[in-house]
Amino acid sequence: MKNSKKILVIEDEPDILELLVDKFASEGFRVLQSTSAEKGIKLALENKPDFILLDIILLKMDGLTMLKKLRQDSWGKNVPVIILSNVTDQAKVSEAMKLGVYDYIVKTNLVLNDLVKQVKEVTNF
Amino acid sequence: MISSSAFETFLKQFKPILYRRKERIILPGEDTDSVFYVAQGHVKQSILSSNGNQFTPYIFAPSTFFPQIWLEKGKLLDTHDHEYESLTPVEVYRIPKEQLVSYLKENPKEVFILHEQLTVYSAELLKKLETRVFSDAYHMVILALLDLVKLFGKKEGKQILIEYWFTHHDIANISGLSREVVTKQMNKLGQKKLICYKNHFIAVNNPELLKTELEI
Repeated sequence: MKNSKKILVIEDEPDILELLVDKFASEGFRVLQSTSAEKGIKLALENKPDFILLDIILLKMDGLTMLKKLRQDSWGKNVPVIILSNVTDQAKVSEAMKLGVYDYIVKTNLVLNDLVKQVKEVTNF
Repeated sequence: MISSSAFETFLKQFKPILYRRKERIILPGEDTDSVFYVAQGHVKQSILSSNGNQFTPYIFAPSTFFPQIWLEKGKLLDTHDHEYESLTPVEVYRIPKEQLVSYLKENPKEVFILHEQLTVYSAELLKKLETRVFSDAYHMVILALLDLVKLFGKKEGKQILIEYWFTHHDIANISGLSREVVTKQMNKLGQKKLICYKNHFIAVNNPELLKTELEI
């Protein structure tokens, strides 16, 4: 586990969070998790994960606001992020793209193996 | 770049379409009746050989249109055996050809902007063709990196950072080489201290020096 890559998952839907955490842990990633953007940004800046999966709709601070804060940090400006979205979030995804994201996923179309493959590729797992 | 208020108004009648990275926007051989305008992100044009090899002659940046060669006696010309795929997540507008033609007739000055885009496109194609015919894998990787510098480069100190998370696999797709060959050439460039990795991104230490490596 010492050399495994760190991934941070920020998602407030418990079922999806559990699904993602279990899958990435079973693939050998060290997984950090949060159900809120406030805790998520703290975890990100303290632990500097290799990759972040970020839900765009969150209570209180939303994913877009968190991404803006992350991109203002000298480490956070370059960390690869995949946005987790819903079909109706197109305008927010478009905003997120302006801040620089590796990709976005519509949660109803989520294919776990494809997502893991994508993250492994970009983190040189 | 077409950025007039008239164009912005014209664009508002269409709905933006988002694509994830690596999604096909126009399939090989697809006879589309529309022209696409890139609002955000980058789209690559690829040529697919019958044995499955891929070559990317051009990458479309924001504020450009694709396909480029699209109008001759009302027919689209360059879709045969070419495909257009999102290189990054993209936002595009799909504009029916007839409506774009009507807009250009009403705003003839903007034809020059399209002409300029077509000129740049043609010059890039010629350069790619020259490299493809006269050089080797090393040169092709350098050309792909220089393309990425032009499209994604941001100066940071003396280096240029390519600000998107490109993998060797992505560079292989752009240059039409295998991932293994690209890794070998990237290692060679690293050993020569022409490139390095910095904060998740490929950094080109000195693009002018990298260009001199292209001299055949």
